[in-house]
Amino acid sequence: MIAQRSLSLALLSALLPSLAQAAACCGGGFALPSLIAGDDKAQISSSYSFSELAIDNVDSRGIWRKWDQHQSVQTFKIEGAHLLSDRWQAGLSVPIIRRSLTGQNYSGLGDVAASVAFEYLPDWDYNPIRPKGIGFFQLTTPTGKSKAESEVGGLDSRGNGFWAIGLGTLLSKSIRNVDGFVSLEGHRSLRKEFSNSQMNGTLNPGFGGSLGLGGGFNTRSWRFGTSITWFYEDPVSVRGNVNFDGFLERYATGVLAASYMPSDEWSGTLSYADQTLFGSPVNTSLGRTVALQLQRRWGR
Amino acid sequence: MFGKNVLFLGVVCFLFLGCAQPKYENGNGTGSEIGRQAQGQSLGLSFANAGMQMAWRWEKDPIGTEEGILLLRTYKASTLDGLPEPTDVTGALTMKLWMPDMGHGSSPTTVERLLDASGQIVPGSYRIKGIYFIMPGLWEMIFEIQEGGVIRDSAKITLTRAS
Repeated sequence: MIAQRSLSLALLSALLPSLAQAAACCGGGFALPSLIAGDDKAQISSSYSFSELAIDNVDSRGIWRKWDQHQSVQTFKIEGAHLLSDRWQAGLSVPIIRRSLTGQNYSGLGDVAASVAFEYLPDWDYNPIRPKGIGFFQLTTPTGKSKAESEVGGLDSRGNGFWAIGLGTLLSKSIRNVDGFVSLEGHRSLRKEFSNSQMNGTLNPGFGGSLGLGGGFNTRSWRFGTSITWFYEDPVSVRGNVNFDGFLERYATGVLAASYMPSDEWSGTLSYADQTLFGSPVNTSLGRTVALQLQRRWGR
Repeated sequence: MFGKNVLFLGVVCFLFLGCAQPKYENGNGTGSEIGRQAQGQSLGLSFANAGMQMAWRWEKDPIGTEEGILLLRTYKASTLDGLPEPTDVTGALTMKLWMPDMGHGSSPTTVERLLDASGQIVPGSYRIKGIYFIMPGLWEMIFEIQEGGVIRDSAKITLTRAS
């Protein structure tokens, strides 16, 4: 039974990357770090996802608009995490993103993120009530261009494009063959100078955050899980030879996932994410994503 | 058993209340809304610092993600009778696109002088090419007069590209 709990949390960690489902248009949201949620020593995951915009534009009044032609986004991501000690771990996430619209394709490195996490609520005694708690600090590097800098309407944007520091927590609990989690994350993106052929000046982002809730049902080799995550980003104002105040961005992502674990070391997860189902989105695009993830774990 | 039922009901209510409620815009699906909105606007836009007014229309309506081409004419009040007469801007005229809700622009546009049948420059007349609205929504067309790389004057048109 204890092994089953550990495995379900390990599979829960396979669902976590789906939480980082970015806003489909023009860049992306703040990615959650790669975390070891189970009792493993190390894990490495590679994932491929395909997103297509379903709603091209939701404006600041919450009006939804769509055209016949939509952007599509393919993401290949490698993530890894390793224990530094019994309760400390470090992680790294490297996405490569390809964005397409009407025959135009732009691809490159997305925002690379590194994290350090601490298990502040260990579950060594498998307490029946108390959850396992992991807190994390994350540093995001602006290796993906921000959408404001783009000269092709955000098509070549592959992330938030700002240095950002974030703090968050993941609380998880597994009881018999059911598990659940709550994730909460907040971050501050830092201002940057920019220049292109049309504009130059300073981009001033602000705070952002996400709240995720999820759960799953486990059999011996399978886990079926679902989650909802709400995302928020402060407006990004532009100051320079032109001035724009910007608007806040808000959306929610619902995820359904099925994981199969043929052994303790390997698992595969197929997930479907939809941004059109939940929340009250504003100033964003909404997409649907299918993702496949393969994960290798090493036990302690 | 009671507790489980309450929990199940709570989760169902939570999911139901959290569901998105789409407010779709009524549109014609062609993107030609932008043309109808704007065609025939006359002297409704001005470069305040330069004391100039503008009239414009689409030479090529930007359907969907296709290129749009804009014709623009700038006027200044005549010293003779005070009525508007076509006048060239002093400096370089540029135009950029911006989506204020989404926080991004589009490809750079090009501004060229309009020529008549004999190849002569038509005073105060410009053709702006390479206008790409890559998605529906609220857009701003920002016209600027630049001298030595410094923006001396600007004017803005706000348009909604319909579904």
